[in-house]
Amino acid sequence: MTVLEDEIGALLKRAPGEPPLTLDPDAVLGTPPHRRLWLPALAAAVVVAALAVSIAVLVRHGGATHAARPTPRPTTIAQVREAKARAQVEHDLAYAALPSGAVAGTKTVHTDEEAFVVYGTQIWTVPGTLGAVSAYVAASPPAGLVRQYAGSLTLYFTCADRSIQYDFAARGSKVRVTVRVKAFWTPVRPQWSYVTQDATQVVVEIRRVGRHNLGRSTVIRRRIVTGADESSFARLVNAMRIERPDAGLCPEVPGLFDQVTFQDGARQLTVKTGQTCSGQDVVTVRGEREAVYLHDEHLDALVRQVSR
Amino acid sequence: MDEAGFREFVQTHSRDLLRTGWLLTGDWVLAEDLVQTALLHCWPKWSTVVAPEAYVRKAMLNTYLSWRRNRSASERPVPDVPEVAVDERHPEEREAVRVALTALTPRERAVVVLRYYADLSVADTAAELGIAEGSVKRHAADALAKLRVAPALTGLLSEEVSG
Repeated sequence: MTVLEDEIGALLKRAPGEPPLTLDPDAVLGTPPHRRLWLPALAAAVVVAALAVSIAVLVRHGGATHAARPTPRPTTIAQVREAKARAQVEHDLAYAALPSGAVAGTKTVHTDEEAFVVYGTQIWTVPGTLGAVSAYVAASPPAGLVRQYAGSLTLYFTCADRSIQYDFAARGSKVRVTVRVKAFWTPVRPQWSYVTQDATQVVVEIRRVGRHNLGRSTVIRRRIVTGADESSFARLVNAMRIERPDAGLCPEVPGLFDQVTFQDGARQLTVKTGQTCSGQDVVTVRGEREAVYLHDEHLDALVRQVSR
Repeated sequence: MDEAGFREFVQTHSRDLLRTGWLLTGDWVLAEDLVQTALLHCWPKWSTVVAPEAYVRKAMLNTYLSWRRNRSASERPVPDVPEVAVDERHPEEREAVRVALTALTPRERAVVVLRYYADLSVADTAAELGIAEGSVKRHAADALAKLRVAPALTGLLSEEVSG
């Protein structure tokens, strides 16, 4: 080894530091750990219970259930993220905090790929009173989630990328608990939302849309950005990270944004600035067919850049 | 399949795998995706794996290099804007190394990580990447030449090597 090799090696070993993430084997294995540990001992009981539940469901609904199909193994980043969200939903449903004696009812899990979210619902029947059951759940908050709402019939826990809601309904001497779980994943930023490296200029236009001018706007700035400015502008847009469509966004309020359009070769993209519920700026880049929401890290610089 | 062994491997090696992923991608979120994707490929064959660490690392490198090929048409690397809490020790050094590594080609970067981070020999690096030893030496030499003069590493390398 040369001195240079030694020094590069030392730098590479120090630079990453402690990873801020941990890996969950269950994201790969796809099932909660405890259930797997119990599986050998309880296999027969689980099979019997599953058959009993299936028969009960068939009787209750008077129809056929879908046959289980093997899930294709994820191979892309987007699929891996979706699989992790689905595993999280399965985990949250399996470990919902409920008093002993709870009997599982129907369970559904489905994915909304456009909203980057997996939904899961599981119905339980629990012996006891409404007050006792909801008090038990309130006293056992899910790890990593914060209680956002607590009513007599609903408890709602949430964090940045998932949520769990418990709805309670009295059923004689028992309580029906509906557990609703959501887990989001971060989309992959599409290629079209980047300014291409071979672009030599971008046409940037800022339109101001008045509060009551629905559908109408005024061009307040238009310039053709070339050379170093174009590179700088492209860097700013390309550095923005994609956000989930609903990550803190309020429904769009017409008339409260400036619209920046830039043309990059034959394509035309629209960068629209707006505000989130928390008052933070966000950027929307809209292509021909869809919009992506980008992190606001560089928004101020972007607007300064194109407003000069 | 040896699920317990797989679980234990992920738990005990996750930090090292994530660090390797970070050195390859320069981004913790992408590093996590890279490791998870590699593990997904490895898990079905786990019972036949003899050297798990090398096997998973090889899967990571294959995944990384295939990402670089496939994602050039669908995604472009962006400067790191951490979305997660990061280790605040040596932040300037981390950023300098991240920036310096972006000057390397994917293959050079993979060679540098294996040779100087994982401390593999030229022969082992060649075996893991499935290329000739001569190619490893050439990629390593090219990478070192770039890193030696990388502006981001100014002041971090001794005058003896950077001068």
